[in-house]
Amino acid sequence: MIVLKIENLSFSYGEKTVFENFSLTLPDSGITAISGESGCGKTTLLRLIAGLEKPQSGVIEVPRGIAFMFQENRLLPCLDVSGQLAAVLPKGTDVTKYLGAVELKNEAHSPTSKLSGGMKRRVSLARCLAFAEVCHKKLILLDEPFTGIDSERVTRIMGFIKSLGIPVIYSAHDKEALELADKKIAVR
Amino acid sequence: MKTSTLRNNRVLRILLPTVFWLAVWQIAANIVGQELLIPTPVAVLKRFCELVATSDFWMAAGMSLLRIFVGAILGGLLGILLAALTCRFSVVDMIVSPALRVIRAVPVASFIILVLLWIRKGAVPAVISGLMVMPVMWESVSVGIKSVDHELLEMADCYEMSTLSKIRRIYLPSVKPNLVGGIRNCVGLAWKSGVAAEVLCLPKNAVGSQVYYSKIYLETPSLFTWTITVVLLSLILEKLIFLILRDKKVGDSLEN
Repeated sequence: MIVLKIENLSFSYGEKTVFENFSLTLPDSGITAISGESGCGKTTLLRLIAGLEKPQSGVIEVPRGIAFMFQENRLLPCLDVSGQLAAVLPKGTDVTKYLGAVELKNEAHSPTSKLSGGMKRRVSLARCLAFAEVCHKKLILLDEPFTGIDSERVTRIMGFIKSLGIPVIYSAHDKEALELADKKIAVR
Repeated sequence: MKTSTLRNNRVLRILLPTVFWLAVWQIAANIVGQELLIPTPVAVLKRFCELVATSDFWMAAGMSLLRIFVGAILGGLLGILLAALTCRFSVVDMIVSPALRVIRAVPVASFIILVLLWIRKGAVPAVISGLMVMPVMWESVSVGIKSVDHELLEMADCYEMSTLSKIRRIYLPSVKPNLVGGIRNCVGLAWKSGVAAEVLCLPKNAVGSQVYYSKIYLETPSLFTWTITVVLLSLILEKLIFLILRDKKVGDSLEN
């Protein structure tokens, strides 16, 4: 079974070519990490898979229903931590499990604006994971999800992500974060 | 250090300008020496106490407050609705925006006389207040809507947030500062235009009518008294609008 199939993908921002005849196939399970230097197109690739960018040519076959974590936190203003998750979930959903997974259970009622950069990243990650599981998404795309999070915590969070049983593609810079994946793809 | 202490002292912040400008007023009245031109603060206070004791004062103040309140609320709501429509649909923007800019540029006196020809004079102040408030509120809210964070909107689409949720969680917090500023500007504008309409239309029980009669009978202390009344009513109206908003969900967002 295949969860993602990209064939002869070409994409450019104006004059700058990001992908030319790029092809990729991923199995219907496990965690895949995308590595590469800054500006090589990791974010663009994830945005193309999510359907947020349209390729100039080529075919991208993905299941309907993707949970996407953006490179920026994109947290909603004037909400506390649990409110950030509740805002994208069906009414009455218990968010404790997801806050626990990113080790923010004690901050459930803290205003998001008061959190550190790493904590905000974890809120954003918890929101994406909660949305993926509760709304039965078929694929999770995470754009640099572990920025600002210490490596030991990343390992624990990755354990939770694997337990969801949903295929995941994530981009990362960090060697340790990349090592946690089942499969690695280098983008040049 | 001393300047910041001065700014933080609420009593001093109210008392200092009040005493200063009362002193300026008193000195000006003494120099001119004619009550017809500039009455003293004491003479105005005396006249104010006399007027407050009459039922006519309360009828005029109450009716003016009601007229201008209704006009400002309806005009403000229409301005907000038009802002939403012009930002959402470019065709509506193309049609409505020039008209609203014309309304803003036309002298209020022209509108008062024109509206007076169309409707009964008692309703003119409310219509004029609404008409003057509408384009100001439209512009304020439009600026707020246009400054919404598009990254948040993209996130909201990705996470399948409902339109209502997007309005509540993204648009309202973004529009909030413009909305609050718009309300403050509109209250003052509603009073200025509403009282001007009352002066020209002379409806029964109206502050504007009393201002006009004070001018006709050369009662300058009364003119000052009614002007001060307008200022006080304007402040009451502003508080009233924020009080109403506070009771609703939109008010909660405004308060945050």
